[in-house]
Amino acid sequence: MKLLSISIALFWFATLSFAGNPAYEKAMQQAIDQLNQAGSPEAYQAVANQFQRIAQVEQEEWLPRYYASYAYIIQGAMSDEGEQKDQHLDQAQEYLDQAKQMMPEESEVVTLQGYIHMIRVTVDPATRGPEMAPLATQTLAKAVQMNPDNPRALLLLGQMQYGTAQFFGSDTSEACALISQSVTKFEQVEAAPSLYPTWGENSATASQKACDQ
Amino acid sequence: MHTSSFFSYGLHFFTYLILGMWGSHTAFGQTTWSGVVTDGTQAVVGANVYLQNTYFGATTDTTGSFSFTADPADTSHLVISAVGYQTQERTVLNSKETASLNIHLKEASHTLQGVTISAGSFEASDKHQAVALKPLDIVTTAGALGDIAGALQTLPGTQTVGEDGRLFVRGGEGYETQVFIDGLLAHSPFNASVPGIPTRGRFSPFLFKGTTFTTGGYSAEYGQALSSALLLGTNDLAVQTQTDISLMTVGGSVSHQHRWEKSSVWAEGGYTDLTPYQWAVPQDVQWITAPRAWNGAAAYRHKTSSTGMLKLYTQVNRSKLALHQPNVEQLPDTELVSLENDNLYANVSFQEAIGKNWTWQSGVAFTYDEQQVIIDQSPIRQQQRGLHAKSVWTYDVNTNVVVRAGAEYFQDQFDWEMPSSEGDVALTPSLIDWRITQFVETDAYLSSRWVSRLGVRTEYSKLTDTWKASPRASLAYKTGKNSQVSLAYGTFHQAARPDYRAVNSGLADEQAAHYIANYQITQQGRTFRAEVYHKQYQQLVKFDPTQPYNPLAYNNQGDGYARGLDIFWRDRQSVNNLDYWISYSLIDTERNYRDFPTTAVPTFASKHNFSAVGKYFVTNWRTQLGASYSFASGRPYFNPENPQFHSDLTKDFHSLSVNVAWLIRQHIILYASATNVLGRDNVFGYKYASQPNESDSYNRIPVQPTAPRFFFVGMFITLSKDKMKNQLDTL
Repeated sequence: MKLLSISIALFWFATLSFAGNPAYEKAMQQAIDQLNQAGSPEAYQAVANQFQRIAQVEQEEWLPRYYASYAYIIQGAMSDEGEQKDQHLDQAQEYLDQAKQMMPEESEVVTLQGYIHMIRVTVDPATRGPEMAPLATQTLAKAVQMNPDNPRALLLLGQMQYGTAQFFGSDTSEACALISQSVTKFEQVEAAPSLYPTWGENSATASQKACDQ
Repeated sequence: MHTSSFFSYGLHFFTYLILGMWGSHTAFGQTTWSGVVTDGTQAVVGANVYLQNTYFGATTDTTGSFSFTADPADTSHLVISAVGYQTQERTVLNSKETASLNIHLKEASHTLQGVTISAGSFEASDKHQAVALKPLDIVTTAGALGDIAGALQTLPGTQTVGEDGRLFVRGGEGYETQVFIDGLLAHSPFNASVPGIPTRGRFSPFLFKGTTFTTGGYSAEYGQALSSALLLGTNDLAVQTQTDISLMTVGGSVSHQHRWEKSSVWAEGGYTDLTPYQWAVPQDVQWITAPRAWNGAAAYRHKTSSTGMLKLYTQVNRSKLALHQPNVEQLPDTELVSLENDNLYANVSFQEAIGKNWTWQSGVAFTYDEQQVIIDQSPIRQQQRGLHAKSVWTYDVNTNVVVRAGAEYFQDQFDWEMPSSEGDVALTPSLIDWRITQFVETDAYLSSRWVSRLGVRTEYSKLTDTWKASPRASLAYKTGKNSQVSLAYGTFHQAARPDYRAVNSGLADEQAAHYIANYQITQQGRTFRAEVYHKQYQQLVKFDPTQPYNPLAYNNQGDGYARGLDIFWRDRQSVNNLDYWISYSLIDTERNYRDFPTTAVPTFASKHNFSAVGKYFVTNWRTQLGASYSFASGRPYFNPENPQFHSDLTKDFHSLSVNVAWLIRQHIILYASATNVLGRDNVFGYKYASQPNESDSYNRIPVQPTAPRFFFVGMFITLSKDKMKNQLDTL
């Protein structure tokens, strides 16, 4: 009996450490919920700060860094002043670099890198387009290659190709195929590990509508 | 059964543990942390205020206020961070203090909108939004035809000297501007040419990611340039593997680059020949051999570590031309002028960070140049070898102070072969000189508003066996969020022209002192700059033209000055898709040098220079339309019939140029340009006969372009696995 109770205690101990840190998960889940509800640049800054706070406690976790980076990218995308955009993207890059060091082979991390390049182009399309647009495309293509089921990589690559095709007045069907593939992957998505990125579905459906018109 | 009860016991125990842990927060009450974050004058919005190593914290709102609750603790370490500010840490000792914290953040010194040294310098890069020019501007400026110097001539501080093509900066001659590639001197940066035919830079603008054009007062790192240093920073690793093909009305080229993970190679071969062009477009001179050139270039880049980079670059060039120019001594006779030139340039540089605070940068550049000019059957050969080795250490003392120190070695060798005035005896003068130099310089951010740069450069020349010291100083003060004033001072030395030193090797360096004051305001895509300067020349070379080979006929007693005002305005904000800039320079300059009988305005100086450049992108057509207009008031010229030296002025110079770049496909660009479309009959000066003719007047011929207009059409194709890359950045 004694032996059994010890082994159960051990079992619990093991479960506890497997379950990770509940305080971390709770804080992350709260922050992710807040991220999903954010609409204004101020709200994104607040949530970026929240992820930063988690990151400074959890030195081994890549997700708080990933989300902090994402929140800064969105701020960069929302800003309409070039210098400010770059400032946000510099912050995004800083957190992404930390995440990259922990998870260099993670498709989601590479996707965000492509996203940063994409928004960098918008600061000054005429000057940066020729160099940065192909870099964004390449990076996103690499993210798709790393995980062909990653709907976010497919979506951004599709959007990037769609924009380019529109600019050159060429056929958008290849881009739209990627977008609808992304929509399918969003629908099929199996239970991802908890706290994993899930953003992008609304944007994918919106892009698909644009394709259908 | 037992097992399951134990299981449920464990579960309860665990739940109790967790709930208990969380419950304790409310059970014992929490401390509220609140306060305001400002930078002294304004609220800091979006700052992150948190307790170190905990999740507890908040973001400041639009009034700079924050509030959050956390566990009570006797001592808590509070951190306040915000973009553009220095992160602050504060230990709060007791709970009484936590309710009304007043936090004052200091601006970080090296922020994007921080104060920078800007007097006398124009930067072209992608790094900041505030720069005057972007790398792409160099190749999309109408009239510049992809020539770096041509594009920089639209900036204030430069003179329009259409028959030369080099950069004449603030009353300085063409040779007073030196070109440095990755910090290393390019001894012959311009293509060889003959009098009256403008030259172009040897280096393609596509090689460089960043350009700094200084019009004075530059860093102690650069020497042997009296007026201006043009600093070109080469590209890093090639972005991707691709092949580029250029087909132009004046020739073509093919280049290929290959990218590996940590290294890349690039090679290019090209041929230009103006024969078909000159057949199609009538010329005012009679070409025997239209300008033609073969080019080859190669580059290798290797990222040796996360902070280390090795760069190799080399290019070879062979060119020739021949034409009949009117012989002013015996009009309407002509004389045959021909030129052949071989040139090699190689540059190796390496950069690495050592530890956290040190950066080490070293390199060697080598130039070999050989040219033969034949004017009316009298050939002159010139051979030049130049070497520059340099090593620079940079030490970050702290976030506000950087110290840079370096040592350099220069070696120059010139050999000539020319007919003697006495007959067939050939003269073979030669010149060998080497110099060692040292410099040390400190950039100090005295506050977020003040920055200073103090430096000194010392040079030892073997030929003159003398040491020279050149102090340099700059100071900038931020007057507002987007504006600043800066001051710069420096003394500059440059060896006398080699052909003078070949006759008198004791000639001292020429000298200039620069005094510059600058005001700059940049706001949302608009930049305004105004700069006043005074430049004092000393020890300029003077000589007696009737005794060209007598060393005693040369001395350093020349002097001069230049002072003026430069204005620059750029706006890419006001009209959608329109980007334009306007430059105006006013200059007052006189000098007494070379064979001048008295102090006078030199022939290359025009009092007023104006240029306007505009670019408009038509999105629907994927086309960029560009135009540029240049104006220069009349330049003085020497008229032997006028006893007053240099008192005649040419008529004003006007030129309107247009260009168009059409992105046909993602990988094909069509580019066309026309220089001086209105066909204005510009005159740069006059060449007079040395003796009067029978009617006792002097024959003269105007110095003019070989044709009033120049047309160019080119198609640029990029082949790569990824078709999205095109050559837009190479236009």
